[in-house]
Amino acid sequence: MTNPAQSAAVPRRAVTVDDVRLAERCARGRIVLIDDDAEIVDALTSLLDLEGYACERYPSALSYLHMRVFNRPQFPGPNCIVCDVKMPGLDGLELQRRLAELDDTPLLLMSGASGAEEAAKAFRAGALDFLIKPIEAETLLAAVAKALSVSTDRQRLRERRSELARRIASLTRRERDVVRCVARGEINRDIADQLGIALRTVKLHRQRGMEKLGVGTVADLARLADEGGL
Amino acid sequence: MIDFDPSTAFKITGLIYLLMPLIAWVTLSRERSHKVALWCGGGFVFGIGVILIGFRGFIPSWMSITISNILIFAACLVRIQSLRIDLAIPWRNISIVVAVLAFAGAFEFIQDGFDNEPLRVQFALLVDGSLLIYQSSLARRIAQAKDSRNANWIAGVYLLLGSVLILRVVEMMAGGPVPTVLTSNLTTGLMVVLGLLSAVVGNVAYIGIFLERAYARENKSLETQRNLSIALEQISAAVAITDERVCIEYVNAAFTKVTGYSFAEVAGKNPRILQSGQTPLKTYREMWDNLGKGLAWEGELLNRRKNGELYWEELHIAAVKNLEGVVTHYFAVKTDINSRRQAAEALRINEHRLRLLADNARDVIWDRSPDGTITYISPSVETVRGYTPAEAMQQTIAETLTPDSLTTAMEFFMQVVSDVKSGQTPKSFRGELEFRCKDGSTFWGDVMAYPIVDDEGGVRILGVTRDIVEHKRRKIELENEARRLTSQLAQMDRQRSLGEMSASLSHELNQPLTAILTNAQVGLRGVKAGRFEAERIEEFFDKIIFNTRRAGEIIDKIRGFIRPAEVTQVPVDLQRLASDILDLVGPEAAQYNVVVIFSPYASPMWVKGDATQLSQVLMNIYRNAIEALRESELREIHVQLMQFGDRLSLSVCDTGPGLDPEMLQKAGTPFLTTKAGGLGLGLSIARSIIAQHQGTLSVGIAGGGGACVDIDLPLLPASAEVRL
Repeated sequence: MTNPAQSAAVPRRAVTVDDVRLAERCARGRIVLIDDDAEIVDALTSLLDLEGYACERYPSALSYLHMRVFNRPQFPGPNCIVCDVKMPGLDGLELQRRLAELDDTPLLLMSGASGAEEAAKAFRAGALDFLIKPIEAETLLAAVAKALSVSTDRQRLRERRSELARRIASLTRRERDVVRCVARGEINRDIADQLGIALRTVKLHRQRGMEKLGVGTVADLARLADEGGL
Repeated sequence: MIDFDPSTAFKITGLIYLLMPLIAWVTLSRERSHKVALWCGGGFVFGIGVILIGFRGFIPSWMSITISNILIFAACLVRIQSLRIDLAIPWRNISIVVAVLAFAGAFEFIQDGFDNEPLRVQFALLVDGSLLIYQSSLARRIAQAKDSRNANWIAGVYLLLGSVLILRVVEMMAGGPVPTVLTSNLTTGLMVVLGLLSAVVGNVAYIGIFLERAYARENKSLETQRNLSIALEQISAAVAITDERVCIEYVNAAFTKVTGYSFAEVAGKNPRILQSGQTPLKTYREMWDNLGKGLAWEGELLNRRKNGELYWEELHIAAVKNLEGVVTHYFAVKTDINSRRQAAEALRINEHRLRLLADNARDVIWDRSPDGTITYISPSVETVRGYTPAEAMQQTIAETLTPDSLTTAMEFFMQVVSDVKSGQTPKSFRGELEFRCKDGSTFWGDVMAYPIVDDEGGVRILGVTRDIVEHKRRKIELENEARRLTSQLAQMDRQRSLGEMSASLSHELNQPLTAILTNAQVGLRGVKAGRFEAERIEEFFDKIIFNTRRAGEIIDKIRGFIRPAEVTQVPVDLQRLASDILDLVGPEAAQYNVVVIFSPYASPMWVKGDATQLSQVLMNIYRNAIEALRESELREIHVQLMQFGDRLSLSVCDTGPGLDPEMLQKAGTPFLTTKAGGLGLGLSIARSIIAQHQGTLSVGIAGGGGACVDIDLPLLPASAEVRL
């Protein structure tokens, strides 16, 4: 979580009717379309629009990255990028590399040529799917749906992780030490010996710590410690 | 007064006259001829006549006077005839007979008609005297012509005798007594003395003439013989003389030189020592057959020199016979013809070789003699004109050439003739002439004619006629073959380029297809869901149509590029082509961020050629330029079209690194490439395609340092443009 998504952190408020509609669409899924061919962008927009998704369109990868710099607030919801591989300037693969540095938005790549090498490169760089043009509507929609669910999962995970981090941050130093040892499965006496504190004190810290972290059992604690990097 | 008996004197004189010709006749037995016979016969008759005069009074007077005078007259004429024969101006014999008869008639007429004895004597004396003087003058001519003293003697003695007879006539006319021959007086004495003298001197001198002549002949023959032997020693031909048994009696210096044998070595030997054994026996048989018949023989023998070397000699041989017709010697002249024979052999081989060449040449080779007939024409004439050589040689030049070509040929002949007249070497002819063929068609030949002036100023013309059609056909065949190969290679190159570009092209083609598919599917979904109004659906159809056309255009361009159709020659707008191909390479250029700046010309630029091949050239150049820009900061390609008169210039310059001078020089060489995966054929194919379009392709350095390809092509005239 070195660089959490700003859009998620600062959600946009719906103020107009359009905003409300857009917010609804965004809640279903926001899809970024990047292709230098306006005809294709038009067609894809129509398709996704029909399916109730929100669409953003960019003629090139550079213009998308440029927009990202402004960091405009967005309505909450899953999102994904559908991008053409071959474009003047920055191509799809290059964009993917740059995006990987920014966030974990799922990326779907489209290509007119079915070059195996190109596809392999794309998957290696972390593309969720590689779509060969011309793309069947069903295929695209399925891929988009999958990407959006991945996005949802990732957003949830991200939220959960930030919650965990918040809770861990609320522990005192002693509490954290004790909870860490507990999570490793050590018994209280050993912990008291190890930290050079009284058995009672250990028990107190353990209770407070588990309360703060919101776990009831040692097993839960152990999983949380593992997940949150305690 | 001399006292003598004239009658006796006449008899003696007559006897001597009889005797002397007989002596001369015997003496001149080896010189006998008609004129000698006449001379001696004349003298003999004269003698009889004189004896008859001497017997006057003893025999009847018709015999003593008439017959004797006629005989004397006839004898004078016969002797004159003899001298004239010697001078080669003989009278005809019949005129002598007529003259004798006329004299006899006149003589008798004077006696019977006038009965005047003195007149008759004067007449006879006058005629005889005149004849004697005439005889003297003839002898004098002989003396002068042949430088003969003896003839002078004859002339002198007859002049005196003739003069005495005339003197006697004068004496009688002066009133002297009518003399009878037998009267003894001074003139009679003189007559007798001179008669004797003339009988002796005339005949002796006559013999002397022949002696003189024989002597001169002898001298001359000796000289000739000396000259001959000197000549024999000096002439280059070898001479051998053998006796009748064919033993060598004489050989000259050349014989020694040729055969190597000196005279000492061969003297008395048979010339067969020279035989090599390689001359056919038939030759010798033929030689002896001829010699046996008394004919001369000539032939060639292969003989052997003293040093063993074989040589060819030409032998002329003749048998020499004496007066009896018996062979006494054989005379042989031998010429060493070894070198001549070798030269002749070489010439024969050479001629044979040339003949063989001419007979088998594809070109028609001919020889025209100064009189205008064709003396040789090679058999290839039949393949080009259908006439056999024999037929072609029979034809006149007007039958051979069409009228226009005939004029050209005649002009050439006139030129040759005037050149020869003015003493210049006539120039040869080179040009195209149209010949008549047997089937009525014509054929164009490339003719080379070389006039050759002979010694008499006649001009024979040697010529070669080449079939241009065949020549052109082969040239065209070769060109077609080259074109076909280039086109095949070009086709392969296009396929390769297309393969290389397939990724970018399929992307290009998939864009509209994607749009089509998606639009169709969206439309369908919307309709199914009942969410689209009619206008919205129309919008989708419009988009589908638009994108389908877009795809079609791309396919058209690709098809235009890969079409393996035959090379065509149609008007092509290069401006349009340059822009279309730019569209094809556009995606590739975009991929590498290359900016293409196209500066079109105001109007279409029509060239004649093959659109596919020209596309390939452009494609090649564009893609080379794109490739060259991969590593460059500034990535621009400038395409510029310009017109210079009737030619167009298309330049494609890039801002890449350019080419170093070495590469620049080699650019376009097949299989030379700077690209790792390239074949290096692109530019060389492009160059040959442009060359086939009568243009040039050059590679240079652009102003900015990048590479620059210039294409120069001939523009079609404006009329062709209108026709389109």
